[in-house]
Amino acid sequence: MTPRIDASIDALVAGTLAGDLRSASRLIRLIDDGAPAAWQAQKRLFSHIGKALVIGITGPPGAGKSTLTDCLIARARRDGKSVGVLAVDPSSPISGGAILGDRIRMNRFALDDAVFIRSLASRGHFGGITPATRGAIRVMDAMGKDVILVETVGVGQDEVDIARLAHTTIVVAVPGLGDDVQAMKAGILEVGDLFVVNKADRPDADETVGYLQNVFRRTPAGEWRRPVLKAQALHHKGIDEIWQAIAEHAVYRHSAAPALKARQRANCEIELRSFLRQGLQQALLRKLDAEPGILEAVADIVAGKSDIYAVTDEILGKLRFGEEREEEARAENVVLRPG
Amino acid sequence: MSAIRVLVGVLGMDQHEVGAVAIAKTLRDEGMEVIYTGCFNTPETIVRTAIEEDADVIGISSHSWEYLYYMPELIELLKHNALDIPVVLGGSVITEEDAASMRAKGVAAVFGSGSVMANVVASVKSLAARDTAH
Repeated sequence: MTPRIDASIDALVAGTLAGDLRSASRLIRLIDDGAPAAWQAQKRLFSHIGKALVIGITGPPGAGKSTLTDCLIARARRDGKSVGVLAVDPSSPISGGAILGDRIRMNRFALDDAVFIRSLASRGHFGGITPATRGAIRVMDAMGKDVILVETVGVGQDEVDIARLAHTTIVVAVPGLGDDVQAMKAGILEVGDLFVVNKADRPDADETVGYLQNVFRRTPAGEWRRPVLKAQALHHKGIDEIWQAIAEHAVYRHSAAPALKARQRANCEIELRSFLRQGLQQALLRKLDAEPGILEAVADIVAGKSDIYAVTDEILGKLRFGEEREEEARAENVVLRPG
Repeated sequence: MSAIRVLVGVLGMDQHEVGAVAIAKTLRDEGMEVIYTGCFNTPETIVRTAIEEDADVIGISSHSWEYLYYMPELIELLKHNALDIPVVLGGSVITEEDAASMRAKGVAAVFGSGSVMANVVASVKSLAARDTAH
């Protein structure tokens, strides 16, 4: 249920650019809900973004992502930086609802005017973040936040979307979680720019650190060698070292301009294609929603009067997709019966 | 895709979290997004969080007398910030008399001991709908 838009889009954009919390918060809601007005607003914000440092924090459930995020807020504040936090928690696949509780761990900043914490529900999206996350980052960027921390849903192995949005992606691991085979799995290990073994007071912490270091040992010269750092976020230990590694990664990113440009181009292409796909999908779905006779067709199928395949072809034919499908079918036949 | 966003928390030194967790889970199962702030909130932190999260409704769970002190303060603070966010109060310790006084002070709905969960859900839904365009 998208809330009533009290303020005009002009006012929301102007407010966001002036750093107004309520305007920015409402704008993130409109983006999250996919409101058409949000598109117009984002269009106008686009030329004002690109100043913030975006840090992704990902890792398995219970690794301490929220607690580490809390520590990084504190560290950024010590440098006088303003901070935006986007904390993503899963939506229930059954009800669509969600309990968003990450911010409890960041309660000490509840009244800090330079800190804006926003919870997002994954809303059926897989990949650790939500489709609205990029838009929300841009809103926080446009309102002038210096550092934006994005905490993902607790991820497993291939939920790596965050790496496309963040300048630096931190993978939080805990001792004892991964044996050798686990650690070799593709995905999360490939996208991390720096690795934090949290809860490092546990006896097997050094083993996990050693294993991860071994994975990254053969980094070719000139490439970013991923640091593996120990931390105890609950006791605020190891945070300065992480902050330092983020700074070093920034230096590397600036020196590795060609590689960075390629990554930027690839990310831009993915986003553009996804926007185009979304637009197309919405237009087609609108057409389908307006299609009468679906309920009658269901009744016929259930009554055994027609088959679901024929009905699908018929409806798609009416929407003028029938021909393409027949051509596809013909093409498949050619392949199936060569000669 | 959109969802009702409800902030659920406990005020003051009240440490009785079970009711808050139960209502949070119920609202989640009704398809709502619950921003759960746990215990030890003040009216200031609740208001600030409601702004940051663009909450449609604020739900306060209370199992201590403190609500008598904090709730009017919360309502005043919302008014002071020109925020039109309805507040729902629930808890075992709320007497009929105090419920009436809370309503008079601007609390949108009060649920005392023996309340039916379905009624709480219906109340949150209708209060959220009041503020929506579709």
